[in-house]
Order: sequence, then structure tokens, then C-alpha cells
Amino acid sequence: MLELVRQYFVSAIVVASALAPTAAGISLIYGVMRYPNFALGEFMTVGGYLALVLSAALGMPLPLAALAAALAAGVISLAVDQTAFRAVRRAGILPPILLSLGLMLILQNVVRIIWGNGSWQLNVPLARPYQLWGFSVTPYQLISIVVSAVTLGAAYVVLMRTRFGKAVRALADNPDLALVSGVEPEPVYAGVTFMAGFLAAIGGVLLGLQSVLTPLMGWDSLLPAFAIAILGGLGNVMGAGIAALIIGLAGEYSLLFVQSSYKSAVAFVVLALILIVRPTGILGERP
Amino acid sequence: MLDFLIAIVTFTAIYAMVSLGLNLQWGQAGLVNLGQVAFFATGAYTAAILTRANVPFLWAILAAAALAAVLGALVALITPHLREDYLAIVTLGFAELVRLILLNEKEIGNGPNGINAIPQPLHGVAGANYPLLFALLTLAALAAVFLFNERLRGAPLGRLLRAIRDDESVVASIGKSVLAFKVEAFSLGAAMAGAAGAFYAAYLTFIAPEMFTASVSIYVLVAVLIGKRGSNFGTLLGAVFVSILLEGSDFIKDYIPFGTGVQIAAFRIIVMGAVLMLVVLARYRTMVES
Repeated sequence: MLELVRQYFVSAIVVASALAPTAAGISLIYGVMRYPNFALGEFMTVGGYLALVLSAALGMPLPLAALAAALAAGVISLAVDQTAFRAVRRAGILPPILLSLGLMLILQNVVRIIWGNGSWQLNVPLARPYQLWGFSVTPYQLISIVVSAVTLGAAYVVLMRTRFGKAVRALADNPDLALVSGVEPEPVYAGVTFMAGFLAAIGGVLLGLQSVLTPLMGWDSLLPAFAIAILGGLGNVMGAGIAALIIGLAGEYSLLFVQSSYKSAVAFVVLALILIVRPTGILGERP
Repeated sequence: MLDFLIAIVTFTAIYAMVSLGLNLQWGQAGLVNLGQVAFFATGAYTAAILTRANVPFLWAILAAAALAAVLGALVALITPHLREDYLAIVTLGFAELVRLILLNEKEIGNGPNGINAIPQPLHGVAGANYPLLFALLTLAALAAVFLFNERLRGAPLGRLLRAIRDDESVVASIGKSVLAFKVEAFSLGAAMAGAAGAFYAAYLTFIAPEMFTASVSIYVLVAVLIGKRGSNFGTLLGAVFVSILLEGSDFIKDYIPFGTGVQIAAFRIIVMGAVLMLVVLARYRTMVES
């Protein structure tokens, strides 16, 4: 029993590491542009499969392939934002929600047309788990945790230390004040959508590294990622990191009581409770 | 060709009932519901289980609608003060929760294997013409749902629901319980989806959780959007479009020399996603909320 509790702790952190970047992307778009983007889960999928193609078919080393895939996902995210979402900026919250649902269907099924319904494995050599302080961890789980932490850290630095980040935080905190203070919103929106696509794709590669790539991996991660984004506070990247650990732990320890296929249901129940009881998130709406 | 036409009509009628339910919730009362498939699935499973236990189809429809209505009322009751975007997330997640329950609780409907050999109403009466008879039964149900919705539009309740959609506080200020009307609208819309589910189960004689994914909720959303939210007749046209796109591609599949079944199925969902995005881009000016 104790052994199980220990091992769930490790897998909770591992799961959290794949969900956190995606949740940070959702959180940024939700916090700055004020709509829930249901297509971001699919950017995980797209990122994972792009990394697969770049590494397996074109022979790039996986870290480089992952970076290129994330950049490409960011560009796709930006391109769709400029061609579709930009038109509905001032049309309230419903049109962008509906657009993101359409985009979700399109991206998920483009992946399905190209790669089919089956699962794919990123080509990494098999590796034995390490024993660290009594925990059993595979090298890929460690890599996943480190990459996730570094990615979130980098996003945090961008938000805290750059002019762009300052504008992002201003628009998230008080859009009216930001606008009258001369913040140009469009470049900020563009940067945020690029970042969100990039972050989600990193999450997708990490998820692929931990298990396999499937067309539904993004959809299956969507509710947990939303739970994390809202729990962490919208627009709050570090909050997303902490909330990812909480949701990860809730999901893993729920395995002591329910079947594993209910994991995303556990995340949803947490999410629904937060929305109904404390809609501003537990950690507040801070970057 | 005629068989195909009858199949399309049946599917259209079923999708139209689900869509009209959504139109009542969303078009009339302004309650965003991205989880309509949950009520559709509830109805389908309820009817399948009951008819297999020799309950007459008519009672099974009523039970399907009633259980879906109760579930709808529950959702509306726990989310009365949620903002539009939060309601969107919660309903989407709720439907996923229902799907996971159907998938995991094997005693409900055999988990991923689903329920097969679902009895069909009046089977054996019409012989070879049975599909036509079933299509007519479904159309009759659709007509009832449609007329109910049309009556409601003109009735005091319909006016109240639209008033809630436009500005809740006005309705509250004249001493009406906004919550009660929201619950009523949501559960009525859910009941329509539940009844449609009963027909769906009987028509296919087989149901499984994989048939009730979030995509179905999005398809009916597209039907309502195409028909200009709020209009029942428009929703009907939208449902015709959606079911031709979904089921019609099965028909042309035999004539397309390229692509596997998976690819063609994926392609039509891509078209659906593109239609959704294009309709939103064409119509967003008329969708601005107060």
C-alpha cells in the first residue's frame, strides 16, 4: 500500500508535467483574450505527431524535433487566430468558443486522416528506471519533468521580465486601463496565441514521451488541463504549474478508489466544484 | 436509393429532435449547452434497457425523456449562476462524465461493448417496408416536438425565456423566478434529446458509448447555428444539412476510389468543423450577447 502511494506520487508529478504547459496555454488565452479555447488540447496532439514526423521520418534528434514541432504549432495557432479568431474579437465570448470547437474537430481529424486511429510511439530507446530516494523513475519521466519545469520557467520569465510580458499582464489584469495606457492589444494577442500553441505542443511531446501518441490524446487531456488552468487562476502561468501538481495528485490518488479510466472525470469533478464554489480560481487571477 | 433516402429522413428526424431541444435551451433561453449528447445517450440507454425488458416502446420513449429531463434539471440546478463560458465548460465536461460512466459501469450497458439486439417497435407489421414505417414513426415524433416548440415560442413561457436570455435581471425584477424557468427550459430540451435517443437506439438496434462523443453535441450545435439560433424551422433545415453531411458520406463512400473508411469518416468531421467556423464567421454579428 505504502509502495503504491509512493509510486502514485511519482506518476502524479509526471502526469502534471505534460498537462502543465497546455494548461498554461489555456490559462494565457483565457486570461488575456477572455475565452476558453477548446482547440488547445489538439495542439498537444499536433505537436506530438509533428515531433514524430520530424524525428522519425526526417531523422532530427528528438529534442530538436520537439522544438521545431512546438514552433510550428505556435505558427499554426497564430495563423488560425489571425484568419478566424481576429474577426470576432469584439463579438463577445460565444463566437470564439464556437470557433475553437470547429478548430478542435478539424485538427483532431486531420491527424486521424494522416496517421489513422492507431497509436504511435516516439522513437526513443528503451531505458531502465532509476531508483531515486526510493522512488522508481524512468529517464523519460525525469526528462519530462525537467523540460516541463524549464518551459514553464521560461514562460514565467517572458511574462515577468519583458515589455511583451508586461503588456500581457496589463491586459489580463485590467484591459480598459491597459488600452488607455497605450498598450497595443493586437501584437499582444498574437504573441499569446503563439505561446499557447507552442506550450501545448511541448505538453503533447512530453505526453508522447511518457506513453504513446493517439488522435484522442489532446481531447483526453482537455478537461484536466482546463481544471488546472482555472484552479491556477486565469493568466497565471506559475499557478498552472502548482495546480497541475494538485490535479495530478488528485487524479493519481483517486486510483485508490476508482478505476483509472475515470481519471479525467476526477479532474472534471474538481473543475465543476471550483467553478460553482469559487469561480475566480483558488490561486487568484495573477500572472 | 430509396432505402438511402428513408435512412436519411430517419436520421434527420432524430438529429432534428436533439437540435430542437438545444434550440429551446440555447436559442430561446440562452443557456449554452455543449453537452446535449449526454441527454441523447441517457435516452438511448434508458429505452434500450427497457425495451429489452419487454416494456412497450411508447413507455420506453416517455421514460427516456423523463430520465433525461431529470438529469437536465439537475445540471441546471447546480449551475444557475454560471457565466456563459463556465456553463460551456461544465456542460462539455458533464457529457464526457456520462460517457465515461457508460464506458466503465459495465452493469449499465456492457461498457465498451454496448447493448445489441434492441427490439424495434411494430416490427413484423410492415415486413419489407419496415424502414419506411419506422421513418414515419420518427417523423411523427419530430412533428410533435416541433409543434410543441412552436407553441412555446408564442406562449408566455417562451416570451419569458427570451426575456431571460436578453436580460435576467428584468425578469427577476417583475417577481418571476429565473431559476425555475431556466430549469424548466433546460430539462424540456434535455427531454427532447432523450426521446430522440429512444428512436436512435431502436433504429440502429445497437448502441455503444463510442456513439455518444462530444462531436455529436457539436453537430447539433451546428444544426442550430445554421438555422439561426432561436428559429425552429431553421433548426430543422440545419438538421437536414447535418445528417446529409454525416450519413450521406456513407452513401458516396462506395463511389470514392481513394481513402480508407477512417479517412472518409475523419474527412466529413473536418468538413463539419469548417462549416461551424464559417457559419460563426458569417453570423457572429447577429450573435452578440448582451
